[in-house]
Amino acid sequence: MIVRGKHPGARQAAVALVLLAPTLVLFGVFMVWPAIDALRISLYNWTGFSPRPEWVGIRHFRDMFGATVWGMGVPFLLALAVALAAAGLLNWRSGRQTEPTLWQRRQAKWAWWPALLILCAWLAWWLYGTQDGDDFFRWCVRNNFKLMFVGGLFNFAFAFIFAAGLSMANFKAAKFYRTMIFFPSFISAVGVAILWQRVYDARGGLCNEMIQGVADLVSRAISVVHPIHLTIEPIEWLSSDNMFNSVIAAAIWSGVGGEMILLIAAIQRIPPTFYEAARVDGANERQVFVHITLPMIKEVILITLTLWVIGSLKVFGLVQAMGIDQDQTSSVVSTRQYELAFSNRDNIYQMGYATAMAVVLLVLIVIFALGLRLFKSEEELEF
Amino acid sequence: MRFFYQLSAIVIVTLLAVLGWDLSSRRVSHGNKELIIYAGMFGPGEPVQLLYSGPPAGLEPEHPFGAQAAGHYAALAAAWPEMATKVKQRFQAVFQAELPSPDSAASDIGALAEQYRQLDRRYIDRLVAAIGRKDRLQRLELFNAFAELHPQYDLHLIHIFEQLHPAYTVGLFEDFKRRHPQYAIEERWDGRWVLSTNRPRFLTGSDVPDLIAGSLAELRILFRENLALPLDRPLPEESDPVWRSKGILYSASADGGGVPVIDTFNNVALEACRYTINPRDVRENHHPYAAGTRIAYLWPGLIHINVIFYNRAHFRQIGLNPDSPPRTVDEFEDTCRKLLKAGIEPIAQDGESYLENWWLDLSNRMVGYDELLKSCSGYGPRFAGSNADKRYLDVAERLRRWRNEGFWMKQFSASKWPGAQRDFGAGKCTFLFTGTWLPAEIAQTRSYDPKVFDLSCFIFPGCPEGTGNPRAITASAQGHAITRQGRNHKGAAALLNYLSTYGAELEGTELHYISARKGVPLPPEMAALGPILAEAKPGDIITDGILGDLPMFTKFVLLESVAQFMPIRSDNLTPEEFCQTMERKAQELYAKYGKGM
Repeated sequence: MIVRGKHPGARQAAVALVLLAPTLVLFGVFMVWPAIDALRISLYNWTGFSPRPEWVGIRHFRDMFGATVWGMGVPFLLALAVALAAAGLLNWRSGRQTEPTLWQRRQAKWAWWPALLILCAWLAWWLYGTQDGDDFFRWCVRNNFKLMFVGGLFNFAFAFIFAAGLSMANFKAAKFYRTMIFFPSFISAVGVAILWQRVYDARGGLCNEMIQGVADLVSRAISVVHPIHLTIEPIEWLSSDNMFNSVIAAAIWSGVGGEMILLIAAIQRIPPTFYEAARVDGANERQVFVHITLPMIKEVILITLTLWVIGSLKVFGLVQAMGIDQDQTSSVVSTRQYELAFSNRDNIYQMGYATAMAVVLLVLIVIFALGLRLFKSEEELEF
Repeated sequence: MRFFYQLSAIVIVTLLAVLGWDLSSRRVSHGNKELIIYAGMFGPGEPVQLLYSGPPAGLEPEHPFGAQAAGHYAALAAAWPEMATKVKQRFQAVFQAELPSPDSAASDIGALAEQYRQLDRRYIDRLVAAIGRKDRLQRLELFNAFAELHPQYDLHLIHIFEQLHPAYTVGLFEDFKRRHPQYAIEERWDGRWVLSTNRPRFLTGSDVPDLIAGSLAELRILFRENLALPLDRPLPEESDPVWRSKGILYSASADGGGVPVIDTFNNVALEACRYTINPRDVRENHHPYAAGTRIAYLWPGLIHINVIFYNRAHFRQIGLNPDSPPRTVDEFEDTCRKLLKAGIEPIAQDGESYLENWWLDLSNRMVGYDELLKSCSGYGPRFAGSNADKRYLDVAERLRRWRNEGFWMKQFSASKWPGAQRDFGAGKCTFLFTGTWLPAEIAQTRSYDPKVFDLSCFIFPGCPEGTGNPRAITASAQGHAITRQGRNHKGAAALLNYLSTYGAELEGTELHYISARKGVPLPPEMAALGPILAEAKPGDIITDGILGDLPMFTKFVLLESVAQFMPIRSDNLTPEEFCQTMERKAQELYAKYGKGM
């Protein structure tokens, strides 16, 4: 666009503003305002029906975390403030440099680590070190974290192994396996839940039938020398003790395909000349993998992990449809929120408290998503 | 920039057009009729929705007799010999075959022919013309003609029409609109989350449904917040003289007998539809009625009672009289032991659904509902501690004994709804403790072999050592509330009056529910409840129980404690620990929200 006049920059900005206005308005009305309003609602006691919500201030947050934890939050907050201030200062100084060195950029980024560690320590203390506050909510957060860390580890490991295997040049049926592994990602969360409920059914479900089938085979083999029949007591996969592990397995089954596809795309993007050059230089397979493949797909790995972290903290459909009830051992924050805000089964409508949970969930997501950004490389690789 | 302006103009015009269409679509589809907005708690395709709305558009059958109705053709031909040739021709046109001789067709041709003979000749002409024609639109035309020419069938009109036209079903709303052409109905089948779906409408006051279906417990929030009209209290702001002086439920019943509609419901239903105003409702929601007043906010539709269903076939198998179910908990225990000895799992039970009902009903029998309510509210004897009523521990110990003896089906802790229901229907377990909606749910899924599954029920057995009323039944009502913000109270009441007059029997016969209306026969599986319902006095009826009276206690104390006590899991509580946990959680609840919640 040709810009004329005394203040070409201002005019350009005005045009940009006009062009962006519809999007900004829609974003503001449908994204920013609800988020701000959610924060407001979390400070009220409200059924969602009455036009007269009751102002309770931060009571919901205090109820959630407990008075002791709330009180102990002050030293943590002070420490956090100091850490944040230090990190901010370092970053400000680094930002003032016209061309900061790689070392300075790294220093600025590492400065955020103490703040993150303080937050994580406070969270861990609240989760495992106290009995204060809303016990049910604490269980829910623990379950979210379990899905995030344990589920994330397995999900990523499987996705990475599948992606590496299916990217091998001499793998003939790669397309078939890729489709088969990716296929569960097409199924809706409710569909996955119903399918796995059948698989896990203690009375005649696929898992237990398979275990008994193996036992039958073993019995038959042993019976050659000594007559025996092994009967395995059915495992209660969906009992409270095992429920959440079963949910994690189902989540991995449905999530691994998507992650694998991203990793395959990243691996296949690496120019083959890099590998050829490395091999010419005498690098073995392990060295090629560690020094070429991994660094080249690091950005995509971070993206997949970020998506998993956000997804595991927001998870709802799968857990809800797998059949939770009043049991804290198998609930997550979103299902609890839904139960308190919308479930007419119990005739309890705690919109304010549920919204406070949503605010906490949002904060957790932001912390972990930003935390993952600290692993981002400073060097930009272009290929 | 020019392109940008053009694009913006196109977007704005399109948005305005969509908005204009949206705003006018209601006017286009309903014309000048008075609109009744109906919000149902069932989802599309569920039996109640089909009973009310009729067959979905586009899925209407083409022929009135359907594919398996040679007997109806034969009966029609036998009833009207002069039409026999035409009927046979029509049959041939539809099925490309000769009409089978009456002997090889249905066995009850005679009775059916007699029914056809009773019909008006003018209708028979229309029917015969219709039976060979492929037309998905003729169902309502035929029904309207049938209704017009046979006013004598009045109350049973739809039932008889469906008997004589086996492929056709008629929705109650369709019949209502025929009888009341001034009304149009906008149906919203929102499913179980009907209240949440409509919550923004209640808040903004726009497009609020005129009536909303649900149970008393589910709709309680509307009553608490004074968002529903009281049905048995005078409404001075209304124009109808009966409503102004006495209340909506005192209007004349739709069948024209002059009886006030309130007198057509049985006592259990009316009691179960009453909500007791809570002091908190008055304090926080400025409720206009005094605390303690019991007001009917729900127009009764169906009654659900907590009962133990049992498989009579198993009783026969172990040599017990299937007509005499256990009357006391000791007899119940003996029966369970006999069943276990015979290799039958006694109780079908899911690990999460309705587990608390065992504790609640056993406590009702042991200490009595009033005492239990006081304890749970925080004003009576405690579950544990120095002021404890030891009988709560007895209840917990008995339940633990039942579990340890294996009364509940194997792996019940891991069973999710409807696992227990499935095993019960398959004849694997003998008892299932649930609400009287079970036969309706079972009827939807499959037909059971009566040799292995012969269903009946009994109320929770009495506790000889307890002081509770052994005849007390926990009943919940399902019905409709008329919303205060709705724009067509008159239409809503007319529709409800119609539904309870003309739909009651259909809900009983076709869906296997217990109707709230007097005189409607009980479904056969629940016939044993007849005398109990007939003789029940207000003191025998516990409306919704603790779940309804103390929802916060139920959710945050009872259900959470029961989840750690009833199923088998690693952190399972002993009976003593269960009572202590109940007490601890109850005290936490009282500290947070106050007593009586």
